[in-house]
Amino acid sequence: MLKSTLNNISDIRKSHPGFFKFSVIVLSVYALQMLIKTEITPLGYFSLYSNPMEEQTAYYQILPYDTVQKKPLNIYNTSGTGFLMLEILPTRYEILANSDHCNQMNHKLRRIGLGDNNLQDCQHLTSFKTWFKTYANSHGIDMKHAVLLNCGFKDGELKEIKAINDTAIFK
Amino acid sequence: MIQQFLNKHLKDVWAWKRLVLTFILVSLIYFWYSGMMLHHIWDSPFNYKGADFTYWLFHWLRLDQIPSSGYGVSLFFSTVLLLSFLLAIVKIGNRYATIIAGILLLMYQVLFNGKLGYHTHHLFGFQFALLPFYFKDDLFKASLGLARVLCCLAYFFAGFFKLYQGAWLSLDSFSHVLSNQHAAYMFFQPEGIRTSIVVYLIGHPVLGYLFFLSAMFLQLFFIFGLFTNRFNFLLALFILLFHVMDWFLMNLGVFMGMTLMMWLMLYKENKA
Repeated sequence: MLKSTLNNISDIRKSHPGFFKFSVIVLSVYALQMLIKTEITPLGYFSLYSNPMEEQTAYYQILPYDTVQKKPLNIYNTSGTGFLMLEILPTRYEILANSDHCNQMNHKLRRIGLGDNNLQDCQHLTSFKTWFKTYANSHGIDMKHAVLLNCGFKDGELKEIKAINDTAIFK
Repeated sequence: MIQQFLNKHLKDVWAWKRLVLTFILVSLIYFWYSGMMLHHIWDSPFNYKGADFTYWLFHWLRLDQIPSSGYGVSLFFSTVLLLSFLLAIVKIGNRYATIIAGILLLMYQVLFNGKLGYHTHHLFGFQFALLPFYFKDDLFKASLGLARVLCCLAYFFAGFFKLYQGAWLSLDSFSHVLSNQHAAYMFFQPEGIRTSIVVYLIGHPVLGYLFFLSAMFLQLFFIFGLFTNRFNFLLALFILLFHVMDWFLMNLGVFMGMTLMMWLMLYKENKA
């Protein structure tokens, strides 16, 4: 099995050296990314949920919260898989707002002697909440009286609401 | 039976190519409907590059300025992307039309993820599925082999990371993952079939653990795909199974497009 694979690779190397080099470059980029532990494009995505998770007192999700009706707004009635955008965007806002120079992977860059030191990304993030209102409105979420809050759920019930931790970008 | 059906209806490589391109075109139309095209988030305050070389390359080449140029430019880009796939289907024998569509798809993936603030990977399966069509006819077999290797590596490493990082060592872990993943969903949709099953799995952690373990083993099995084509049909089935489970249990239907990579496993070379 292994011998026939090696023979095939050897044949391709002789018959199509250009394609062989292309393949080596693609695979080398992956290997290098693994070696220096940066993001692995695209091998890394499935590594989600690979770490063990402990039980929490509440499971949090940032949602638009209607301050008049005093309840979070349902984002799961949007078209197609649009709800994912409404889940991901506020979550990423909080994560990036608390990251070094608003780049979650900056520690990985610094480890290999690089680093993202730009200040613009954090400055831009300060307008996120205003932008999100418009975005959510355009996807059928009534944001007139809504603000983004961190909602803690347990067993299908809302247990706690708290403000998003984004003070770092407003300092 | 399935293989016989495929042999009957997908007689040559052009039929497969038409199927692959049409699948991607339909997926893109669905993303448009879901508000997931570049023009939907062109003005987002994110410009996330992370630690990914591709995103930094786009930044250095100032390609990440494209969406910021305005709604019209982003809408034009989204339209051209769809039209490029339509053109590639119409000009099925033209390799360059496919390459242009593939490059635009890659640009969409990188620019969209930058504006999303997250490097989601729901589109890389499309790139792998398109790879064999980028090369001349005499390289079809070799490029198909490379695409299969990339596909198998992606799934194998998914299983490997689960094994290495130890989620499988905790019996309750997957129950907590489900509680976390569906926290708000269970609040808003308490009556749905998905909620009922998820609640049952949360209450029965051993069953949830078995689902998790089966997904990990499905993924680890892809190591065999690196050395032999003998299990290709089984691997295609595993891709489908994994993503159906991912869609139903994790509500990640957006990754169903990855099932397109099944064609890499189902294609029989003697039909070329």
